[in-house]
Amino acid sequence: MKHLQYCFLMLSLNLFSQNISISLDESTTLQQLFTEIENQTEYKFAYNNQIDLNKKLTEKIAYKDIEIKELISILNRTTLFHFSVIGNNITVKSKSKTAQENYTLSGIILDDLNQPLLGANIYIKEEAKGAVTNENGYFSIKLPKGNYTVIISYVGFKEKTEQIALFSDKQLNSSMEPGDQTLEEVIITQNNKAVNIKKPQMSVNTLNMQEIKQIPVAMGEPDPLKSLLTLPGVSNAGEASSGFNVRGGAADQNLILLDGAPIYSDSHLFGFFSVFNADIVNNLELYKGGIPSRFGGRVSSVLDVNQHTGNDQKLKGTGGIGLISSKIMLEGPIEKEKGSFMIGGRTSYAHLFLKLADNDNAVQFYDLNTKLNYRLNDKNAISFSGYYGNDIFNIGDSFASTYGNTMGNIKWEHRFNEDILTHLSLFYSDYKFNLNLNSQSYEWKSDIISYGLQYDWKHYLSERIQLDYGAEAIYYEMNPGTLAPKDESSAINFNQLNKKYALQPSAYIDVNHKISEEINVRYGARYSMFYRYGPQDINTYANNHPAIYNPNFNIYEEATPTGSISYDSGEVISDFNNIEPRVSLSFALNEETSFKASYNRMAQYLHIISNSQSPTPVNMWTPSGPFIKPQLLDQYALGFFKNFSNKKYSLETEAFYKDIQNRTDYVDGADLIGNNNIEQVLLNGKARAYGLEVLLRKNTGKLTGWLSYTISRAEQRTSGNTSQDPGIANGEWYLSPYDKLHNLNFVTNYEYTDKWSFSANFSLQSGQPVTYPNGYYELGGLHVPNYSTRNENRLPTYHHLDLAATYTPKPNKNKGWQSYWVFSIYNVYNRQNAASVRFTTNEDSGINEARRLSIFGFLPSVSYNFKF
Amino acid sequence: MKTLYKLIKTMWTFAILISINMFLISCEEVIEVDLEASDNILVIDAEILWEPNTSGNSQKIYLSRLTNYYNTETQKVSDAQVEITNTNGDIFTFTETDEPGTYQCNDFLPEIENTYHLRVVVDNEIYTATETMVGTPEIIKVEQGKDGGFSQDDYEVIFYFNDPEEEENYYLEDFQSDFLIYPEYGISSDEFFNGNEIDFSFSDEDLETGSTVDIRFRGISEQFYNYMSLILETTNANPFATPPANIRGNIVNETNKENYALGYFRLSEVQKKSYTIQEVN
Repeated sequence: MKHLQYCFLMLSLNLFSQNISISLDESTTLQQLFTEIENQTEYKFAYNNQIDLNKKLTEKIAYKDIEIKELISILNRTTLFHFSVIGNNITVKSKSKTAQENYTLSGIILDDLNQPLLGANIYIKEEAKGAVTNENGYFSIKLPKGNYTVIISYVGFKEKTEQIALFSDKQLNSSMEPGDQTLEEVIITQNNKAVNIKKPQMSVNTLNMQEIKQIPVAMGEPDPLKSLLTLPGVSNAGEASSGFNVRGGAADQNLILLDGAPIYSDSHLFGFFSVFNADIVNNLELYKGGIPSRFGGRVSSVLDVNQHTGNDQKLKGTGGIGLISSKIMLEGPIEKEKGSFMIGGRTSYAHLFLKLADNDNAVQFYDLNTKLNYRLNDKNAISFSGYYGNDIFNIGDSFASTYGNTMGNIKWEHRFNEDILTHLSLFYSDYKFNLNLNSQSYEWKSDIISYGLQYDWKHYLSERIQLDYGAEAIYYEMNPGTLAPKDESSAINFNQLNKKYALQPSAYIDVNHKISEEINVRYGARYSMFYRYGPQDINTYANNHPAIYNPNFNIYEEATPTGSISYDSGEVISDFNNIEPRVSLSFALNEETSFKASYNRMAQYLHIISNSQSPTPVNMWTPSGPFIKPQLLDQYALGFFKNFSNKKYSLETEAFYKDIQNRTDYVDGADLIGNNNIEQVLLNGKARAYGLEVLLRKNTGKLTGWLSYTISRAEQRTSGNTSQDPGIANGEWYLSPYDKLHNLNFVTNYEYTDKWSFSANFSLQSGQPVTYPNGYYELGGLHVPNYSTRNENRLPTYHHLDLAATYTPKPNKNKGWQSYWVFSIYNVYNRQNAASVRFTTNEDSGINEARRLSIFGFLPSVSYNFKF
Repeated sequence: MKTLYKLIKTMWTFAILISINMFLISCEEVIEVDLEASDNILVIDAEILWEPNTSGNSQKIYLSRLTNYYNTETQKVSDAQVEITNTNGDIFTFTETDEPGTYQCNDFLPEIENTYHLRVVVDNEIYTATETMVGTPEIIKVEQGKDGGFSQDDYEVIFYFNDPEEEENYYLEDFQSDFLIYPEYGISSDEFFNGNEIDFSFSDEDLETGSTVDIRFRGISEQFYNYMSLILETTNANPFATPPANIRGNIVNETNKENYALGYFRLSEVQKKSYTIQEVN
């Protein structure tokens, strides 16, 4: 049978590839042309009643023995009609009309809870064209007038088909019904998991909440930030360390945005938990490279976290009870179908148990999140996002510390017309650190406070060209430290370190350009400026070298200031500006395979100056100024992307190289906290990183998951101020503390039954670069280990396997109280991974020893999660 | 400011360790690490201390070498020439005692603010260092307390002194007791408490009624303060900080600059006190 069909196909191909001879002058009508061709060939013309058959040809046609396809293409060029061969039909459309009468079909796609769907696909069957919704569920597409079949689809929802007649601009709003498989409520993926082949954006790690909740974690609290570590190019300094490192970058080089506003500290309890409560996060994207122009201010990455939008139909709740912390999120309408609220809270309660055990120490964290939304009309909507979180430490009565972020952001969304969508936002964000040393009767405070105004425009010019442009200004006030005596008895004098003021305005434009079906490009630039303002007294130094090398002792010393310049309030101390070009390109070989390339330059004007392995709560942001230049990054990335087996699997591979100028390095033993003249212990250096990332995902089926592997190198080089002084590590390239040569992660989830699913996570990575002693000596009765070149050794290889089982007692219950249990074991085979190895003398025996600190051993946990 | 930094840093280390311990999840174990064999770098530990109302004639200087980390004894350096000269041109010669690597002099003349020059010859290479003797304020009183340490119920020994207002001061104190294998050091500058009455304290969970604590309190130079801060940072071994590399002191090899020596030559007036913990009623 198959064979027969094949023969028939061959035959018909022969049949229809026959040639004709034709000779028609200008006065010939369409009708005559059609008849001539139909007489000579087997083709039949198909057309609708809008085609005027009496219309004359504009040019003479005379060809001998011409292939029909060639003739069609000539007709397409020379006549006012568009011809195309479909089977043995030749369809005819009016060319001029399609060019002139385009209408816009736009609308908003919502889920069953009236949440906007990001990344829903709109497909126009007749035109074989599509559009994708943005974060507000909005889409827009230009089409010639006519009748269309619109297919709306989204993972986890039933496909929806609508018939529309488009004879003017039209609005199509649609709500989607959940699919047959009930997935978790919070899944709002940026796209389905397969790679977006044609989008120029590359180097993005995306996780949806369902995936995040499946990854087994220490202490059972799903953590959006920690989950990112399972994807290529992302690592951190180890368990219980805050911050994360992207492609060999430092933790302070990540821009962390919560609903568009920057957050200055990303973790609770020194990194045991991130500040992102999994129940309130809608989706998160980590841009590692090819960063769009609308983002700026940090050189390594942008983590864009969006909070969940409240349900505007009915009151709902989600929550979880864990061993360490519990959380709850409530959402509901402010006004049905117009406005909604979301409010979430989370707190740890270990301190309560300690109180019961009569222990004075308390370690606690909490956070509060909210999002309010109100749609005024079709064109206007306003929203408010807020975050407030703190860590609290009380150690006996002697030591009390509180620190955390506060953020508030008011956003106005306005649609000027079908083609222009704008967002105007005003935000406040701060990070405050407070330490009370009651035993010494003093208090230490430091903070960073920022105010920002941002205006973003999305402009749809044509189906081929869309623009993103806008401007932003952020004003910063930084207090590096206030030291105040608590009472008369304190031996400490009041001391205020120099406060710092800065303004960071910027403007950007990105052009999303579809050059052809194969080539999509996004190009643009960001222009960023930075102004440091007084009042401040700035020291001056001989040769402008605040740190000077003493060749006798081979050490860097703090230079004595030669004087100081006093700047008044509002006076500019230093200013910087940078043009940051950004280009990304995708070249699709076919529907399932593409190459992508990108280049981006980024400037960073705020820095955390820290010499600990990962940022500590005490570390403060320091602005660029007379002695600290802005960090400048150039990154190049090249990638190969492929979906296969009908998007069941996807492969993403990328190679990157990046180069950072003006990465500050600190001299050995530098005092960085409470130092008013921090420039005296800093040296100006460089950093570079390069590597290869591979991500293989299985996207569908009962067994899903991914395997990610990164091989990379991160290095720093700090030469001295002059040719005489050696800089750090003799001015040679040395490994950054966040260098991870190999980093392998394997994450998998298996849906065994409706009630039970199992997941596993395996991580294997090179140990962190550290410095080990090459001997010891005695001085003043102490054993002093002597450390040689920085970061020449490595901690032992780090690996662990984690397992989790999720039990849903009533999987088919879709209303009322629904719940599930998560049982997990972190570090199943109890690997004692080294968080650090320190070298010290045993207090009892007086013998030198190496002590390995490991944080998480075998660690079982359980959590109960619910929604209603 | 450096004091503050150190204090905050130490506090954080404790805070982190306490919070980790609270969750009962961390563990610290002694492990064997393969370490490079050391270079035989010369180490000069020359601390001249003069207690007021004593002659200060007898002083000791120790010469040793950088030693493999796991060796229990450091290598001593014998047969060296060691001498100190002052600005008056007096030469004080140190001769090796029965204890290898220990060099003693019995005619040293201490004088605050005088500048001293150290000269050491080892293997035909000359090492020198220059430093001024620093004065120390008097300890006005010593007392005991019972709310020391993080548990806040350890015994503590507290001593008081008046910080001179008109100058920048740097201090180094150490405490010794039977239960301590090596002295417990504290270091500070007066930046945040200039001109005030200051108290420094020592507490330990092993302190008990009858324990005697020996206090040595000295004023030091700014440069030695910087050096000793690094040494103490290294010996405190904070698990979360990068240790300072290649801490070089004030010793210069005049013969061959590349072949540098470790250690420090410093001179201070010292205030000594002994205190025995009393029963509290």
